[in-house]
Amino acid sequence: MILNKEQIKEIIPHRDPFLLVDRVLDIEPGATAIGEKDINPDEYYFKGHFPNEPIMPGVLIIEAIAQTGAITLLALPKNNGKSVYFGGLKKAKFKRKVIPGDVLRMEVELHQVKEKFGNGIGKAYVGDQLACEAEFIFSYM
Amino acid sequence: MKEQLIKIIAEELSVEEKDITLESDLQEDLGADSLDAIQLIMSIENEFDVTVPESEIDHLKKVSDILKYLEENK
Repeated sequence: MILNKEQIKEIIPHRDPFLLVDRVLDIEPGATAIGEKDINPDEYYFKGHFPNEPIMPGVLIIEAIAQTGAITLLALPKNNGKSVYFGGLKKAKFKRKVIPGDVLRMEVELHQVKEKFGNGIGKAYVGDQLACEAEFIFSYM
Repeated sequence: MKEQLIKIIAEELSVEEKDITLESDLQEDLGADSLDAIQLIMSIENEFDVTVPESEIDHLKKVSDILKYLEENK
């Protein structure tokens, strides 16, 4: 493990219940990162999504990918303390349900990182099964 | 280079190639917003292997501005 939750909290401002990365398995700051999130049965959203069929909302899988991307970007010393925001999403696809007990693995590659904007691609897996993929644009300052 | 540029613009902004001329203004004629412009510039960087500083993006309003920039910096 390269980064634990406490180390992640030093890089991005997200906090429970909206910090969606438990650990970072591998990171190359400014370029790539692999993060993981344990999908616990007591996640707050399962109560309502859905009452008899708990499924992680797709937008939260996207958010977990985005947070992994934010860690990659803000782990660069020159970006320390900056904020990252979503600019856009393209080609988002959801391929597999994510349910309690799964371990979600987010793999993110930043492609172009300019002074205030950038883009990249993220994929989320459960084991070797692709659950979600998307291209994203972000701004940071 | 012009044909290649128009192809990328059509793809990124979801407009028809035939509706794009050198005089087309990205925002006023082709419906791009500032974020579309950023994404377009990043695609152009990829396609033409060129780097466009962010400070330059505001000056690239028309298709002809982008073409001129590419010709001068490529």
